[in-house]
Amino acid sequence: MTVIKDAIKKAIASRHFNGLITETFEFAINQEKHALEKNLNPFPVVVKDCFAVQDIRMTCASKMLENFIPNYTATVIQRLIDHGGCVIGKANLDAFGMGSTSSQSYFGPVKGSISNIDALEKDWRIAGGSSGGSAVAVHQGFADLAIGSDTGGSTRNPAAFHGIFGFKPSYGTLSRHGLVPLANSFDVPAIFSQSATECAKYYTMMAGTDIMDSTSTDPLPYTSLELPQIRIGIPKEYNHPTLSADSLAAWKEATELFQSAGCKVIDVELKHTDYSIVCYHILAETDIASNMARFDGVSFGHRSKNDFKSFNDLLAYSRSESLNDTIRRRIFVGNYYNVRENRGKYFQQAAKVRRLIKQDFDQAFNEVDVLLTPVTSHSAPYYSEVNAAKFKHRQRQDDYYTQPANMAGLPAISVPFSTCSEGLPIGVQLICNYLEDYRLLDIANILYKLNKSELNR
Amino acid sequence: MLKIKFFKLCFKRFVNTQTTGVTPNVKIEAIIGLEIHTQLLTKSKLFSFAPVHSDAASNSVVSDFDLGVPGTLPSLNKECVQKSLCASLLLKSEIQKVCRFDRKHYFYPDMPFGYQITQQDYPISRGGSFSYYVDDPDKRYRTQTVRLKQIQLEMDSGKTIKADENRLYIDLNRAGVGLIEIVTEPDFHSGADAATFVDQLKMLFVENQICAGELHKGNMRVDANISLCVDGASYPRTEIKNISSIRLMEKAIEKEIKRQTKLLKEGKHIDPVTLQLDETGQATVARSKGDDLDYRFTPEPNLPRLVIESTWVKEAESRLKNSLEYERYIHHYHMKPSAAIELVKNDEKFNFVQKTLPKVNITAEGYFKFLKELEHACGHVAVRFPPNSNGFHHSFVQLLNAFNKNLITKLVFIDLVKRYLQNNIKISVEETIEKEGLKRLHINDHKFLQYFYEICEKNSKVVEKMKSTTGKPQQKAFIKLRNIIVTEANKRISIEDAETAITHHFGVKI
Repeated sequence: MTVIKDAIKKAIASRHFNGLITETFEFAINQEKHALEKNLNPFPVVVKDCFAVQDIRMTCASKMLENFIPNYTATVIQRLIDHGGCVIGKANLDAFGMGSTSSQSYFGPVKGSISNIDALEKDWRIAGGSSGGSAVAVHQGFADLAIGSDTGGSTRNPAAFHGIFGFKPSYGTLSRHGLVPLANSFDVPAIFSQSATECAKYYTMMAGTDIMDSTSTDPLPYTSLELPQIRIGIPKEYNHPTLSADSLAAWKEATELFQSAGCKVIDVELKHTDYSIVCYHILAETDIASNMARFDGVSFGHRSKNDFKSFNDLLAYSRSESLNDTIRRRIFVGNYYNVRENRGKYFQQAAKVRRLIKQDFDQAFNEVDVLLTPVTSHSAPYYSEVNAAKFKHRQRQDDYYTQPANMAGLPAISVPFSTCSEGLPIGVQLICNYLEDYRLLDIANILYKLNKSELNR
Repeated sequence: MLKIKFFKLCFKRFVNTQTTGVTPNVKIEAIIGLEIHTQLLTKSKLFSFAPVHSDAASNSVVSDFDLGVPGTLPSLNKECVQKSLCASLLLKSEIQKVCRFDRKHYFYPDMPFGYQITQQDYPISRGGSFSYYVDDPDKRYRTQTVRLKQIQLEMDSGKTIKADENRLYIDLNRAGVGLIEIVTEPDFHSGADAATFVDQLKMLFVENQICAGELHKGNMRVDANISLCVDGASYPRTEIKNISSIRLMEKAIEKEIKRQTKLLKEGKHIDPVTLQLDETGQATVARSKGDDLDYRFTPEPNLPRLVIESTWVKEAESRLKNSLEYERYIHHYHMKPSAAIELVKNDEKFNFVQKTLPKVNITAEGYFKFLKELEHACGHVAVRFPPNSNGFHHSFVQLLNAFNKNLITKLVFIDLVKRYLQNNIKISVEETIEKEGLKRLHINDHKFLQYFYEICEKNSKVVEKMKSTTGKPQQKAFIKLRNIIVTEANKRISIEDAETAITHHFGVKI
């Protein structure tokens, strides 16, 4: 039983969670063969279905790209393959990455693998999103490494719900060539794994400048910090009313662990945090309206079979038929922010406030080495809960903790920490300064170990 | 009763046009601005690695990025930046330290992204000017200067070809090719000015290898904005888009000026409108005011700000060819601009002139008169004009110099030209003159008189006729005598000298 065959077996056994849109078992077996021939250690990988893998369907979980087959492979995926990665399948997601539940997929919702399997037909715990399928793959063990993307928390969120590590690298350190963009200045390819050391290992395989991505850059080399020297920052703005008792408790416990280890814990102020979510929506919606403009049904993607009398008709029918409500709503809003009458009122202001948010972090990192915050307001809710009218609210609530790191391009990681009163995973978040990815991963590992030894006591 | 009503009606009409129309003696000025889209002469496109190839089979030079394949990103072509810097320097446009790319959104079948990547807010250079030559009846030439707003670097769209009423063909070969858009201030006042400007701008760019300059292939396309101005008051403007012929542009602009002027004089409204020009020069309405496009400009997030390095500017400076051949012909050879430009555009003729004119000791004006003679001579002996053999170049120079030194008459010159054209003589001009005794017999030469008297004696009848008649018969005799003199002297006596001699000796004028 090879590593890959074992992974395939587990993937088949997890089909009821609907984590994969496309299974690529043959492909993976082939890659395993090639890897062994080159004396590499093959490892199973699952890739979010908004990354291009040559000759394999990339749907973005949308009817628009239902049958789209790219003829190239995303840089980060190619680098993994070159190191022995074997792609087991393309993971399910919220269509085009828009959502934080992984329920808005043309191919059916992802059911969180923390759910009670017996009642799965009727209700389930959401997987988080938008990279829900990738989280399930690692949680269920049919991927050592899953690639997601993170624009406002899309990897850290499902990682927290599943009790695994979700690592969002510094903006630019993982090439976006081959990642279908949601919001270009926020998007990063991101990593799910069972440990911080594995995250670091896979990160190293993929990181660094890419000629195909003009925004790519190298992370700083690793410099270690002795445990007691690590200065921990606690931003008070993250003590938000939406935080559940369990999440708050996890945050407090994590803080105490560092304190007991001799670290200085400092209260810091990130005073523009409240504006972050609004800025995020203006800037993201703007990008979305723009990035989605290429889906016109002319040379690829869904083209309406309706009778159309003009180019405008073709456009309108094709897009209306294949893009879901969330996507259309965000396109409308993005267009609104940028019509001529609104020039200067929204986008430019949001961009300026974004700089202020970055400055908040810069100031904080003058005093501390890492920030410790919650990552979600609570553990994974039921699908029936989020489907109700309030669900948009909950989405925004969770984004509150994760998207500031995207605003500032900082490396951030969701560390599995404890469980809630119902036994579901709760995580905490660590954030470091720009390009200090290796330091972040080191500290994440330290926290995890401190917590484990505490739990073992 | 009816008569009064009728007059009242006429009076009313008359009053109406007087109050809303334009009074006859007011100066109406046409204000024209241009936007020139220039395809950069680079190996690959602006943001992708696909080759730039204007003759490729449709949709054969399209990269994934150009097609808009999801997940692909732009990669800036340095040579495109370099050529833009060259253009900025040539047009004295101030190169900015930092520039940025923007997205200009609109849906169109040949625009795969649903937006064009351009430079709206922070272009590569601002300001500038271009001076172009115009014929002047008094001074032979003058220069006119047009100010520029900015030069921006942007990508070209694909091509849409209308197959029939219900079908469009899209060719994306051109999608993503690097363009610079040169925006002028509205400093033009006529279609002719605009045409001359574009023509000379094109030549400047071609000489500097910035653009291939073939308008019919779409290497340069112009949008023209035309409006009228009366006593400082401006009227709404018409935009004519996508013009790819200088000649058609001039016509279209003039036609539009006429149309607007007529409307103005009739007291009617001038509505702002956008027109498209087809290959025959017919203008059709593309869209009217109501469909004003909102491009929703946003910064291009996948390209960092472009900081222009001083080494790039230096490199651009080293590549510049500031003065063009036709300028030399205007200044040094005193040709009028339209003639100089016409000359340099005719490759073969220009090549011939380049090889011969610098070597002759006559004025350019004189030279070009002889060039005309050469053209006639070629026609007479059925040799292609201009002759392209190196041997003939040398002979022609020798012949001109010989004529200039008064060694031969014009008639001998033409004879020799024809013989050299047909390659009948293998020796130099000087040798031929010597060998065949063709040296000019000048009126001041002592041998001239000898010849003259001899010939007159031989042809005493003609002389008598001339002396004894007046009016037409006399003129006829004069000419006959003159021609005999020239012929008998083997054309070594010039026609003018013969005439002068006859007049001097017999008192008869032509």
